[in-house]
Order: sequence, then structure tokens, then C-alpha cells
Amino acid sequence: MRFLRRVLNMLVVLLFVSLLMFVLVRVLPGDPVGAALGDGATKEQVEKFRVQMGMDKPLQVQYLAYLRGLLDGNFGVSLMEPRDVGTIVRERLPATLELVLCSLALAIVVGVPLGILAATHRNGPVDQASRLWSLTGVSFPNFWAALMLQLVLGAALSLVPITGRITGPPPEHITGLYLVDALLSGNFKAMGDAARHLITPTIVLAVGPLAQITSMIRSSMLDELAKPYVGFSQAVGMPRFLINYKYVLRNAFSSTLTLIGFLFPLMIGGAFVVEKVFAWPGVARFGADAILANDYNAIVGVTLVICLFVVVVNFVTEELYVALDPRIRLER
Amino acid sequence: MAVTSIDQAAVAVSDQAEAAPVRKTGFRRRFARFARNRLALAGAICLLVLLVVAVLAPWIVPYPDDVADSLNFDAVLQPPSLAHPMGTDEVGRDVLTRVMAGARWSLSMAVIVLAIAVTIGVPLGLFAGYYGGALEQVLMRITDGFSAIPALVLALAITVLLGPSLINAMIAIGFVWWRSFARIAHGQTLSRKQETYVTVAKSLGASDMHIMFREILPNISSPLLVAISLNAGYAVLTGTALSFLGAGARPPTPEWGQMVAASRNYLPGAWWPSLFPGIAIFITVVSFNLLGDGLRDYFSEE
Repeated sequence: MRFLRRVLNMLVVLLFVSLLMFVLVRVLPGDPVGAALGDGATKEQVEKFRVQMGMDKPLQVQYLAYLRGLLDGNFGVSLMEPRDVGTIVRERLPATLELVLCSLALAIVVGVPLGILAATHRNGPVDQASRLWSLTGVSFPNFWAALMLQLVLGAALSLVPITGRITGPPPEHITGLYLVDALLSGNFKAMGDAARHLITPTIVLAVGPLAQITSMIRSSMLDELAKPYVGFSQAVGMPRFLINYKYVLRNAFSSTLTLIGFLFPLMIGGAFVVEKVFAWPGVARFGADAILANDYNAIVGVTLVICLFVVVVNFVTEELYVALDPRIRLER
Repeated sequence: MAVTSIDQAAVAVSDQAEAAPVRKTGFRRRFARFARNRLALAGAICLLVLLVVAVLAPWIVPYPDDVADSLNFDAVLQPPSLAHPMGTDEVGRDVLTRVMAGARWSLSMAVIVLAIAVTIGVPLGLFAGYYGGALEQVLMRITDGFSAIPALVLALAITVLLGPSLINAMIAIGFVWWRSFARIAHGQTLSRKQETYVTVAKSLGASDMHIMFREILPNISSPLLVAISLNAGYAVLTGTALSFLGAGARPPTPEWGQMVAASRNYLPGAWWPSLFPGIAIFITVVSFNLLGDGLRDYFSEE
């Protein structure tokens, strides 16, 4: 029952987002027809185009037609590339997912141990550094951090390529994630190539989330360590590391899970900027270009797909949270 | 710890003097307590300096003509020197002058975005939390819907559709940002509406509006203040990102994000016109975060 209600909730949110975006792009004063045809278009051309796109009909009729199209997997034609938006998004989605997943992994792999170290060695040098980091790490403008890293790592030190996703031929298409595809097909040359391209954008996108995960882990572990059961376990002679890892850490992970649900939309938003700076061929760069070019169907389509991911990630993290923490299950 | 004992003494003294409120001492005591957090104090001072620079910019910048679109083609892209501590940009303008003038735009961004967001979000959160029921369901589902769209994406779309300009970027970000304040106000109202002062006000026949805005709102102002300070930094980051993408400020406005965008074509050779505006953004955002963090500690002690 609860599960069904939550799925229904997700659908309502998605329907709302589709309606909001659909109405916004049509009601606000932006001019898609002008953007598509250019300034030199005649009145007849404009009229014909509007009829072609179904824009002469009332708004609610257009919206229902759009929804019916969505059910058939038809997102409408993009104005920038005259193809179905759904096809373009499908092609470009793996590039963005690879980038966001790598950043999330980096943020967790570095942030969680750093937060634990800070909490277990409270007020020590690691703790001081991590506290400073959690305040400064979220304050970098990502476009600027990207340019500065390109400047230092790419241009000055020539350690990594400055832009793009891969230099040589891409690995055989299996999942669309270059690292995974290269590993599966044993193409280690392509794997190294893709990894070298991934380094800088991954770091840029991970900086903020890394700081937030560190401070979240630190503070939730400190709260947990202050609880009576920790003192009791110590008093009965349980080794410190066992207490830390068996009880405290488990609770800290629950809070990280909630944080991931919160960080994911932030990272997708960040990808809109990062992919632009790194000429990354992902769906976020397509979305940013679509918005800047007033490409209506692409704007609504990309936003919907992004929101689908956000909603699903939230759903999964919350379900995991409940599964990890029996206290919540009992309350229901 | 000498500081603590003096402080405790101050608290004891002022507790005795509670009957005859001396406003100034109260403020001093509070300020002293806030200022114990050195980082928060540093943030507050930085913001004060930024504010002064923003207000006085036209009179104190080294090259007043360079604020807008003056062209000095004999001084293009000069590296930092004594005459130009941050170098000159692609049309020979003094970068320091433009960074100083840009403080005005980033602070306006923070103020306008938050004013819009608080005006929309806080009443919605209050209504949802206070009335509950169907109204709460509808309002909070709408908030969820808005939260599912990344802030930058929605703000970028609205800005471009309104017509790319700095003021439209501010309006768009404000329109996106209300959801944070709706959430906070909603949660806080839920936990406060059972308290005695609300019950008392109700039994005295106070109207719902009076209870929400005169009884509950003042009592949830501390968490809101913390949220305002912490969100100000993110609003500035989002605003500069929109300008960087070409949807916000237009040249020759000396807006920091726009300055980085205009100068990035001259990388890697000329790094200074890209580097310094970015540092200015960073310092502004860190200051807001330090202040917000300090306020949170301050209020949680209280």
C-alpha cells in the first residue's frame, strides 16, 4: 500500500513538472518560432510553422496531445537538431550519467572517510581542516573552478586533456558508459583515454558534494558518539573500533543516504555548467543549449527526463533508508 | 578560561538587570557572544567591506571610466602591475576597478533573490503548516514538484524565456528559491503550532492571520535568518553561473560571472581577468556561509 502510494506520488510530481514546464515555455514571452526560422522569415512561413507544430490550437489541447505523444515515447521534434528529443536524450544520457556517477563516487569515497576521521579525532588537525573544507568547498563557482583546473592541469602541466570525452575511437557500445564498456570489451586503451578525460570534470562536479558529505558524516557521527550506548559499550570493554564501525557508522550511513537524494539534483544542475565548459557531449549540455536557443520541445523533454531521475533517486534512497533503519519500519 | 568566566559574569549581571532593560548592553552582550566565533566574525566583516565597496564603488575605484565600456586598446591584457594590481582585460579596462564595481551586482542579486523567495515561500509554508489538511497536501506537493527540477535548470529556463538580463535572472532565481523557505517555514510551523502561546492567542480570540504572522512568525525567525544567510551564498553562485552561461548580465556590465565568461577566450595566456572575478565570487559566498554557520551556532546555544 505504502509502496503504491509513493509510486503514485512520484507520478503526480512528474505530471506537475511536465505541466509547469509546458506552460512556462509557452506563456513566457520567449519566441520559439523566431528562434527556429531566423529573423528573415515571412508571415506565411511563420503561420505554416505554427500550424505544423500544433501551436495554433488552445493550450490544453496542445498539452493533452503532448502527453499522448509521451505515452508512445514521442517527445516531439527538437529545433536545434531536427530529430525526436527522446532519441537525442537517449544517446546523450550515458555521458552525463557517467560524469555524475563518477563525481558522486569520488565525493563518497573521499568524503565519508574524511568525515569519520574528523569525528573520531575531534578538534585534531584533520577535524580543523575538514571543517574549513566543508565551508569553503561549497563556495567555489563551478564554472570558474573548471576553467582554473583546465588552466593548471590541462594547459600548464599538460596532465589531462582540456575538453571532450574521448580522443581516440570510443569503445564498443554496450551500456554507453565508456569506462564500463571499455572494461567489458577489454579495450584498455580506450579506458585510459576516457578516464583521462573524466578526471577534471569529475573533480569540479564533486567539490561541493564532497564538502557536504564530509560535514554531514562528521556531525551525525558526533551526535551518535555522544549517545549513552557508546559510553556503555566502552565501559563493558567493547573495543573502540568495533563500536565505531558496527554501530556508529551504520547510523552515519543512513544520513549520507538522505544527503545523496538531496545532492543529486544539485549535481545535475552543476552538470549543466560543467558540461558546457568541458564540451562534454551529455544531455545536460544539450539541455543548456536548448534553453539558450528557446528549443521548446527539447526544454520540456530534457527537464522531464532529469526530473524522472531525481524522483527515482529520491525514491530509492528513501527505501534504502527505511531498510537500513529498523526503527523507522517499526513506527509505520 | 578567562573569557568564559567574564562572559558568565556578564550573563549573571544582566540577568539581575532584566527588570530594567538596557538595550545597548543587551546588544553588546549578544554581539560579544556572536563574535567569539572568529570565523563568523570574519564573514560578517568581509560582507561589511563588500557592502561599503558596493555603495562607494563609483567614487573609490582607481579608474572610474573602466566600470562600463571604455576602450583602451593600447593597454590590452596587461598582466598585474603596480598601476593595475589585477591587470587589464581584453579591451584594456582595469580588472580591479571592474571587480570592485561588480560587488554591487552580486549583493543586489542576493538581496533581491532572497526578498522574492522569502515573500513567496514563508507565507506558503505558514499556511500549509498552520491549516494542514488538503491545503497542506496541495501546497507541499507543489513544493515537491518544484524541488524535483534542479534550481539552476529552472532558473536558467525562466531567465531565457523572460529575456536574458540581470534583473530577469534575479526574478527567475527568486521564483525558484521560494521552495527552500516554504519547506523550513512549514516544518517550523508544524512544531510550533501546539505551543502554549498559540493556544492562548487562540482562546483570546485572535484571528488566524494574527497567530500566523504575529505569534508564530517571530518565533521561527531565527531558523529563517540562518537559512537566509546560508541561501544567500548559493543564490550568488547561481546568479553568476547564469551570467557565465550568457543568460544574466550582458557586457559591459561589470558582473563577476559575465567577466569570467568574457575573459575565458584569452586563457591560458591571460589568466588574470578570469582569476580575480572568480576569487571575488568565492570570497562573497564563503562570507555568507561563515555568517550563516555562525548564526546557526549562536541560535542553537540560545
